[in-house]
Amino acid sequence: MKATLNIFKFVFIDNLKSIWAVTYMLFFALSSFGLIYFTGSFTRSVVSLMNIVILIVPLVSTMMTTMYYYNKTDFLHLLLSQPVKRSHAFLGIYLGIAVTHSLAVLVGLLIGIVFTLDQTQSISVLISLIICGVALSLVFSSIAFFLSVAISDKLRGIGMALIIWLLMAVVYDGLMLLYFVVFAEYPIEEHAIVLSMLNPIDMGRIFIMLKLDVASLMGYSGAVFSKFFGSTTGMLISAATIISWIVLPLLAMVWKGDRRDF
Amino acid sequence: MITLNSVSKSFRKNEVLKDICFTIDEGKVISLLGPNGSGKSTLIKCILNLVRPSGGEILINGFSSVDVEARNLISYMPQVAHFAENINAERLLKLIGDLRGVHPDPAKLVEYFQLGDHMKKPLGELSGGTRQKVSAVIAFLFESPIIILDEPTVGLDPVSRVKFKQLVLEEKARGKTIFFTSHIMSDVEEVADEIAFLLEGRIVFSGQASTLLQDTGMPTLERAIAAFLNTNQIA
Repeated sequence: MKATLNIFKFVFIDNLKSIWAVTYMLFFALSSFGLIYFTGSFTRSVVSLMNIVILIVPLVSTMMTTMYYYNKTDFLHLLLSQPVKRSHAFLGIYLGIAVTHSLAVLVGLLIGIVFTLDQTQSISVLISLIICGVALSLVFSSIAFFLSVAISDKLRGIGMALIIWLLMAVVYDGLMLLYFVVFAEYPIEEHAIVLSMLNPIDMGRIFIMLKLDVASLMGYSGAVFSKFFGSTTGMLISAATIISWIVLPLLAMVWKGDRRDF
Repeated sequence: MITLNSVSKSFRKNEVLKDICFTIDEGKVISLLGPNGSGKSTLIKCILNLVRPSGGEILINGFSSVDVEARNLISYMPQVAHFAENINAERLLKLIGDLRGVHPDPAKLVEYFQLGDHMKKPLGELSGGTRQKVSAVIAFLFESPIIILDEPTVGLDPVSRVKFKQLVLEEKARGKTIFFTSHIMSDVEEVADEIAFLLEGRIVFSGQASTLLQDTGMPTLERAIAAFLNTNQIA
């Protein structure tokens, strides 16, 4: 694992020095500061910020991971021609990319929050927002990295990664809504929990919404969500699901990377 | 020594390498020649374990090419050297040293290729030729017994090309095995002990360049290759 650590450090510094990482961090710093400072209502500004985090973080993580991978194939060849296991090399690159994205979100949001502390009504909501941003960075970097390793063609790889983002960020919600409308007569609240947990973006959204205490506006469903995600078991299951969303694509990536040609 | 025993490689229905049996002896400079799409890069990638052969085996000084130990015996200089945009060459050399577990002093090679001013600049700011020189430093720094070079002189200026070829000859004199591809026949004539000619996935000629000149009756290697290619394509 020493090789993984060395490669991680290299890729991390390479990414950190990139103009994109700095721009990404500044974007979150400015948007969080601007929304909290100018919106007037704390809840409304957090909801707006949440919408930015759950849409932009997965999209940017997906795009930046695939672009880094496909633009650095010569570097990958150089690494794989060294006495290093493929799995160690891939893991090092993934960590280098994912940690940079997570750090950009973390630092960006923190800067915005620190400068608007006097307007903050609940620091735990903002911490939830940061946790959600970091988790989504790790999840979508993992999915995008797996797709990049699995698909050798750059255009197909980027296209597939964008389709996955679109499915999770937009289409999935539409399908869920359709399911709820069709089966509105039935007690499907438990189904809603399971369906939400299958999509990390939805999990992130619910996680923040419940912290905002707007669950009461969601009626019985809100109460069920609140009860489940508020319980220790619910929290543990949610954490395990998010970790699975990070680890499973990585395991698939290691499996595929060990077998494919470069 | 690199030994290829009945190595074949197919990408779906496209058979790129066909039953290649070939040995690269220790201490020799062998040039792999062939037209575009003949399978040169695939063969090099098979030796480096970047591409897994569909059949046969490759042994590097007795180790299977799949073993991590085999890659400790090889240094590789790729055709294009777009490694990292925001990191400098010193940091890249440190990474490769960390991965190999040795940190030889690059000062002599850096001076040889006149890279002194460029070692601290981000690689993205360097010209293609300078990046190629950095790649050459990586290939020659780690005292590996086998050095594989893929089109090494493309992008180098004439002075650097001369220096590069001189370095290849010096490394050969020190007992290194050097396997390289090139389309520049003057380079091949100058440094290669033997050539291997790959055509449609098969090695159709291997031996000394002078033998090929005699066989084809041509005055230069370039013409001999063209004549050989025409004869074989017609056949």
